[in-house]
Amino acid sequence: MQNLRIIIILTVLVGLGVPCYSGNNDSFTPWNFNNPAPEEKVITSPSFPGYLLIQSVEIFRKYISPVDGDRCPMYPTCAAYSLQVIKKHGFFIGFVMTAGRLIHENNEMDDAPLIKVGNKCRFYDPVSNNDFWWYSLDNLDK
Amino acid sequence: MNNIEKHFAYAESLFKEGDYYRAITEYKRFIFFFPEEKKTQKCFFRIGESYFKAKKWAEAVEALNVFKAKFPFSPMLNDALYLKGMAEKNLKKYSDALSTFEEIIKAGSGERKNRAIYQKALILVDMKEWKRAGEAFSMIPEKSVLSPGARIFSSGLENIDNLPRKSPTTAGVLSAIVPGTGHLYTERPRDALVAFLLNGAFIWAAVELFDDGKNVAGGVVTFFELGWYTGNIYSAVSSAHKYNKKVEEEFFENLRNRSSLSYYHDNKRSSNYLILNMRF
Repeated sequence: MQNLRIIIILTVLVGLGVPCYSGNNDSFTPWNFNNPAPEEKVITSPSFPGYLLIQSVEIFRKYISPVDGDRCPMYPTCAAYSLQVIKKHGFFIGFVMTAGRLIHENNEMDDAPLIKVGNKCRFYDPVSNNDFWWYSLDNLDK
Repeated sequence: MNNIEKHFAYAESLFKEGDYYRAITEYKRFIFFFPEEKKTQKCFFRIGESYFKAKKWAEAVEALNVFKAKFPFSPMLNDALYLKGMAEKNLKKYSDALSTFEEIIKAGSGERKNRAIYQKALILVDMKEWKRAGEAFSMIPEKSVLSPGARIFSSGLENIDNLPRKSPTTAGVLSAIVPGTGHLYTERPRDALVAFLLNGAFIWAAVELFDDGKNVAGGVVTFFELGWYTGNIYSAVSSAHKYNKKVEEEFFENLRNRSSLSYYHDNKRSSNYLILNMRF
């Protein structure tokens, strides 16, 4: 009975977190330039925990997300955002900002601009929208 | 019209149609086949302008740098520098954009110089350097057509400190005490509910697991709860900054709208003008 209660709790917790993630990061580049968008530039090389976290998200994107479905209304999707933020800021801040993204996406839809990605409309919430207040002008101004 | 002129005219027609991608190819073709022609100068300029109009800012800066290096004494140099400065501004390379506009200010005169000062002031607004921005706006002479807009910005900047802002520290502290309350403070009730429920559920789960002696499972849940907890604080602080940013953006949007319709009196002609600036 006790074990059943624990299983139910863990199932509920996983259920709360999983729908927030989503699949592939669509992109559309009409002129086919090779320059990556600033958000995609890797600024820091990830530490070992960061590498593990990246691999976990990659496994999620490859194996779980296709089954779970594309539920994230944002762009970049939460999984893509997580990868970008870990590559940009490392393990700890990446982890915190990923959790922050999952928490704040509800009200973000009130203000975020809608963009068309592939054949879907998504709310635009890039990493720079959430780190501009401490990783802003000096770093962007390069 | 000879063959050379036809080539150029074709590139120009593509440019006027807005087919910038093909126009660039044609301008490049012209430069390749007729390198000694005078019009190559305009072709180099048009390549930069085409990238600019196609919103390919980085490529525009590169092309306009090429133009500047090849034709340092061109009569089109100031226009090229202006486009380059605008492209750098759009890339948020503010210090580059400031030095580009500074070049125009030093070398130019009249409305060209005033336009550059105006753009410099707008960049300083984007950089949140209110005082320097106000000083730059006040440098625009009264006789300029940009003067009414500059006055509106200049007087608006004096009230910038009175905007209703949210304190990021308060938001962070509130969320640290009770998860979600920082979001409530920054007027994000749905985020507040999510933060409260997620943290509540994970804390409850961790407590239950440790009570039952399931220390490993409890540790795993606690690890994830630490993520939710710090994420909740980060998100609350971030929300306060976003709130303040939104308030400032609305304030400046209002100033921009007000400055787009302005009155101007031309002393030379003794005429009055109502000027409407539109973005298109």
